[in-house]
Amino acid sequence: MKGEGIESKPEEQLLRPIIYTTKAFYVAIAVLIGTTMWSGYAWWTQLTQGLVVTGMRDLGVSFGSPWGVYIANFIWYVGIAHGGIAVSAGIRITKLEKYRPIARMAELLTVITLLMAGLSIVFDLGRPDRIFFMIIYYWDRIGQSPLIWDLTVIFAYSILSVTYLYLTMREDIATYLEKLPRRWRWFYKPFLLGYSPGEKEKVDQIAWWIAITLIVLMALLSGGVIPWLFGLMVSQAGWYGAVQGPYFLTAALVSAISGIIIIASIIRRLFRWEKQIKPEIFKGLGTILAVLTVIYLWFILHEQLTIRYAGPTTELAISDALLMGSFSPIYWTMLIVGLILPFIYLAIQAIYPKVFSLKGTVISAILILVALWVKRFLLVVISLLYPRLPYPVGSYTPTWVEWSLVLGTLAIASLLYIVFIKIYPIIELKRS
Amino acid sequence: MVRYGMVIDLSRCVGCRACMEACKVENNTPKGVFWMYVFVREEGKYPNVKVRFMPRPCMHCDNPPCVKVCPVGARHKRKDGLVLTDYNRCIGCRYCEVACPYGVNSFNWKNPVENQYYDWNSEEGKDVFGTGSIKDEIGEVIPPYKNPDLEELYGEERRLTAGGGHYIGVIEKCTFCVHRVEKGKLPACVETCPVFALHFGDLDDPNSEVSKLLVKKSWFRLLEELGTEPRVYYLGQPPFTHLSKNILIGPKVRV
Amino acid sequence: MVATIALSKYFSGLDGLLTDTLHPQVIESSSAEEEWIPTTCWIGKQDCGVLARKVNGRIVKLEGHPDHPLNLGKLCPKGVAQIMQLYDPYRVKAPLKRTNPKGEPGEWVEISWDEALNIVGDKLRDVRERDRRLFIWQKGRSKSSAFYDNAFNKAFGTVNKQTHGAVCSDAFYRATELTFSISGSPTADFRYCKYLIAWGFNFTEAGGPHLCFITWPREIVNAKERGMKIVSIDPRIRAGSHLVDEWLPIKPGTDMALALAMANVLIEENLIDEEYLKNYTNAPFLVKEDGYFLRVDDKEQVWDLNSSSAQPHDKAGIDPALTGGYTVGEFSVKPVFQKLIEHISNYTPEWASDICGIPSETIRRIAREFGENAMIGSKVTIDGIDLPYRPVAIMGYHVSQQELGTQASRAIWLLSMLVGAIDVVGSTRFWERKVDYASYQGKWSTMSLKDVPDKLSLDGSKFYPIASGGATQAPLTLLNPEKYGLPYNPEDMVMMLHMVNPVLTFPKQEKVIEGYKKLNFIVAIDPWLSETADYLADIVLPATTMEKYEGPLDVRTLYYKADTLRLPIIEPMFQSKMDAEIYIELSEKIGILYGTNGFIDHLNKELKLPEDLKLPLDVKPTLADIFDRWAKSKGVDLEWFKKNGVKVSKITTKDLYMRAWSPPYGGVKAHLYSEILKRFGDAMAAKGVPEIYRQDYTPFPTWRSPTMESSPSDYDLYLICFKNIEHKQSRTAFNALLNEIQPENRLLINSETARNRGINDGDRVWVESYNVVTGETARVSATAMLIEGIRPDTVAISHHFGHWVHPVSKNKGVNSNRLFFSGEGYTDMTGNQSFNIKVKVYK
Repeated sequence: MKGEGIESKPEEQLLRPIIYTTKAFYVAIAVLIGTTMWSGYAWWTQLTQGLVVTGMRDLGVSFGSPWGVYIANFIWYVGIAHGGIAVSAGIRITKLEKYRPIARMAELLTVITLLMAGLSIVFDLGRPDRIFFMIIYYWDRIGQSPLIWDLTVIFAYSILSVTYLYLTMREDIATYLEKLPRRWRWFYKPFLLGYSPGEKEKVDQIAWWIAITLIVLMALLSGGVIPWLFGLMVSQAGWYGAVQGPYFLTAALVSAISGIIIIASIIRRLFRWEKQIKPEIFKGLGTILAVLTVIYLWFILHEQLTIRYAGPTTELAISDALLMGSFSPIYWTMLIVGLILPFIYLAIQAIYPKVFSLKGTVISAILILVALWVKRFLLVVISLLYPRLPYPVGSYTPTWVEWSLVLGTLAIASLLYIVFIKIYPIIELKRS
Repeated sequence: MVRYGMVIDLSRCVGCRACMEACKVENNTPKGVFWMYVFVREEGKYPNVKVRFMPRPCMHCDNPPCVKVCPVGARHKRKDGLVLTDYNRCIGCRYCEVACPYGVNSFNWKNPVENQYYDWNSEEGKDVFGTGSIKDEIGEVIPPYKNPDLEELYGEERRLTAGGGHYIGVIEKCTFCVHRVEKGKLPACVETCPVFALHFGDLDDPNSEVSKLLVKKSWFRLLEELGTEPRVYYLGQPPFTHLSKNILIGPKVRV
Repeated sequence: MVATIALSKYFSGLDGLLTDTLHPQVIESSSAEEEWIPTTCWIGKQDCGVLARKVNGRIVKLEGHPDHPLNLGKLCPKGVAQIMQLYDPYRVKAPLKRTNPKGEPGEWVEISWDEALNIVGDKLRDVRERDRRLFIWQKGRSKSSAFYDNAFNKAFGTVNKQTHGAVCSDAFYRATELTFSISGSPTADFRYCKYLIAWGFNFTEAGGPHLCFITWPREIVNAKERGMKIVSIDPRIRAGSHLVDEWLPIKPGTDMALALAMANVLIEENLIDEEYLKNYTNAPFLVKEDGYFLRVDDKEQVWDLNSSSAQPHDKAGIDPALTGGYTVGEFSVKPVFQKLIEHISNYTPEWASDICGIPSETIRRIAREFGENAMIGSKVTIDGIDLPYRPVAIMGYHVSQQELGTQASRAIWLLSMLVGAIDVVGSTRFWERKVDYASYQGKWSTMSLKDVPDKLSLDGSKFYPIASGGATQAPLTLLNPEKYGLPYNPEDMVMMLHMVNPVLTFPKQEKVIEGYKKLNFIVAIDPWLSETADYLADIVLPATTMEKYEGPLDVRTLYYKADTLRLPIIEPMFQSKMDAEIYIELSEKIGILYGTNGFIDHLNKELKLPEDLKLPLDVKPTLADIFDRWAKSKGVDLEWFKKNGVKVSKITTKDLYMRAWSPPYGGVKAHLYSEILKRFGDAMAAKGVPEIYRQDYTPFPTWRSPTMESSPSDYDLYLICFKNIEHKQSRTAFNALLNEIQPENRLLINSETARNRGINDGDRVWVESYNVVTGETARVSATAMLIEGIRPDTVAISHHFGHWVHPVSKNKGVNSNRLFFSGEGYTDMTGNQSFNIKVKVYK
């Protein structure tokens, strides 16, 4: 790689993505911008023609599903977001230095996925031009509406996450300012505001408290406020229930860790940071992922068994559709290929460290992450297709607009991530 | 205080669906949207068969899940009991739609003006079977039977809550014909029911027709066990379950 | 901000983002000019009262007129939705002239009213001068018989006047005419009825006798709340099933067998109202061995038990015998009732059970319930009038639509007659209040058969001496004039169609097209381009929908009657004209408007205008003037109707029950035994008329197996047809609102039957019918719907669909008439179309 011989200090290796730009970077940016523009076109179509260009329709009389891919996307991103920074906060509090290299990746993951979650909601609204009404009427609705609770907590979480990321980046930027390219100096200036070298301890303490708050909040949000969006809805047979809380919490952690594994392995590969991001990280993450996945599988079993034992009509219809009916191919594929097989692999790998394979871990993580998107989709949509009153069974097929916008969120997220890596050090310099 | 409610006598309903049509013409709801909907289902096996009907308007619940979840307060419950949507405030998140166990909400997925049965905008049928078009005859009114009452503001707070098919991207549902009720008339469905199966009135007034019916006959409410406190009472036979068979051929159209 | 404002352009109704959300705009104020115009519903049959809401000159809603006795301020779904047909963009907007040959989809050029009326007027005048029999006037559901059926046709001298009665229920009317000299159909005295048999009566979806939908269901639901029991005899359970206490799933075409068996039970259990039979029917009339009445001095004789001798039937103070055998002079005679007992003795419930598929115990039980609930011998006083109290009723209507229709109807009437439940308190009763001996029993007693038919429907000829204006026979006669001896040439004929669509509504579609294609000229008066006009019309004259003067409308429930009018709520849309105006214009062009025996002269008579209000015979009248005069003859004026809509009066108890008349039943004895039919049957045999036409001309209803039963065994299912409440005949399938809730029809098939044949819900199947007489078959493709509420050996397809012209209904559903055949074996003895046929269903 260009200029390899010059670097002698480890930190200079870590600064390589910022200093040198490869052709691959430009290609990636071009592709991502192209995708973003395509999804912009899709959104324009949706804005001018209305949400009719999606596959969503009214439930009941119009036998459709009024929520679909956008909301599934929203939950998926929110789950990753909550788990992401919680992992990083956990690393800080438990002082597990082994995982330090991936800390910032996790934090950045949170910030970006929170943005994408918000974007997914904006895509879903019938009148996005009126979104600021949620702020105007905030105090009216905060007492009752789970959506406003969501707004509050996501907002709070975002503020805390950004602050956390900001605080933890200050030291790195300040210390290695000369090594960083001049062309980005305007991006570094905000991090130097009021910086004094002795601030480290105070900053660390603030960061520590924020970390605790984040972890507590994460449990409250991912295991509380977000699932309450669904779990409090007595109207939908597949949503209502106390199990949604821990169900979502587990899913959040699972998706976050899978996300971190994937991103860390890509970054490691791209920038040849085999030494900095050691396999032990992946081994550890793999083990945690295995444990969380089996807990998640347990929740799935728990949910289905509860329904099938007594068989209340609407709930049973939903369960039947999943296990034996029109959605069973998706469901079983997701369950087996997406969750059970990866779990078995990761479990074996955890018990017999000798069979560890990074590639295998990453593939498992990808399968699990995709499976969780599918799981969110099934959660949102199927209950809506089987209402409590005896309407005809609904159907829902997402259209190109919906897929394009989902792809768009992935593209924008990747774009933001890559741009960040181009400008800022993605691995904590000082600690490495 | 007035507390509006509806009583539906299932032993009288003959499933003619005049209520669905009257609601549609009165409120200008677009294609595929039925605020008043009638379930028609067959129960039993030959030869012990019964075909029964169950009209289902919005329940205007006393503990309405849709009002609770609305993030901007567009869906609100008035003092007289009507649960209405402020079309000028709705952001189209459709949370009320998923929160409602009865499935009474309808969302304007497309521009409602393009969704009123014919393509009035591009003068469908113009010069077919002779020169002329509906637009030439009555001007640009979509639909041709557009009800001018629906553009006005109702309630103490003067909100745009009557009728449907106003804007793209907002949600709407049965309003108990607020624009008629405020003028002392009955909702369109109750007005037109040929067999006098639908009744509307003040549940708090012991002398009103609806109160007297509830004292006289046994009643039930739909999905009462979910705690929504619906204000539509049914007299007569029990509600349908998924185990009966739907024998409706239509409406089976969506937007 | 800028972006959002720019985007707001794309949202409907928004002038600007912030302006609309923060300052909602009032677009149209409804406190503007608003009026409520009374008129009557046009889409249905019974002319319910309507209040049309008009705001700023535009009709916004149709609601029921609260004063109108038929609907009491309510409207059925069709009435509500007809507003969409008022504004239908595919209405015919101007007179159209055909530019391509008949028999294929029409290509039209728009012409002016002048030109159109001249063309039609010329053709009609020409044909009138040549031979009046060459003009066919065919109506469907045009209202206001005063103008169209009567004034115009009488002025023209129309011979081939065809209504739609023969595809409807006319066999019932023939049955009552033959039996009571009343042209009516059975209804019930719901105020007091305790036990109703709904025989082939779709009482919550169709209409039933005379009325369209609203009135009967309301009466029945109210009576049910008062405790009336309902028994439904029907191959299919209808929508009213939750009101029905018992459903007898009868095999199609076997109603006569069931009725005869029930009569058998009534006689056997002695549930007989002797007083009624002796005094008000011909049950005691003495019948000779040759089947004719014993007459002395031209009077029918009965056996007086008091004097043990034969006496004239109308002598006072006698006690006629109902049973026994007697000798009078050289004749061995028996009373009609004795012959009935002998005739019915073989028609046991066990015998009937095999034929109609209802268990014999059920037949006995229902007959007994009917007889016992009739409370024979009981009396009640209402409004000071003593009347018999017989709270049982049989209400049927389209039982007549089968091959044995007339006699099956008579058999059903027999049941009510046996228990004396005819037009007394709580009983079966007539909606019609006019007994007309001369036109029916009087006329038929002396009529001779024509060898050569006058009419295409063969009315009054040796084929159908008693006929119903068999409109479905017309195309068959046109196709085969030699067979029937038609004395004129189809190619010379001219037809006027008014609000009718025979290509869809008559069986059999291909023959209808082929037959009418022969005609020289066809003009259609219709608001839409019907399928018939599309293939066959030379000129289409656009009529208005509900926006017209039409009337006078004599509306009646059981207890109230009213005079009302249809008033124009807006000016005619496009260039359409009010139907009556079209007729006046045409009459003028033809030259039959003015003078004695002209249109105006007949109209004066039809409207029963007194001398001082009669229209002058030499001035072209306007509709407003005509109706003003008519309104004045009722004691008000047109302005009164424009304000109040309907003039209601109560029917007095004396009028309500024919038993209370003086003399009771108009002095006409009911013909339990129809000597008229025997006369005709013998006369037809003497003329060598084939048996298929005369086999049912028997004095008592006599069971025979319907022709369709001789179909090959693979045609193992019965097909019946029915109506849906959401639609009216073939004229609402293209109403966008009604089409939405009922977009098409399906083949209704019993779930088990379907599963045994491997047919699932929603499968496309072939339905094929068979004509035993000609060996022809017919086949359509339909979508199956599995239901429980139909006999396993029966399938049903509703009417209403099969259109191809209007985009809304195009290619939706299937036209069931393509499976039914018309003609011999598939019409009843009076030419009433049978809607039963055997079919097979396969994938």
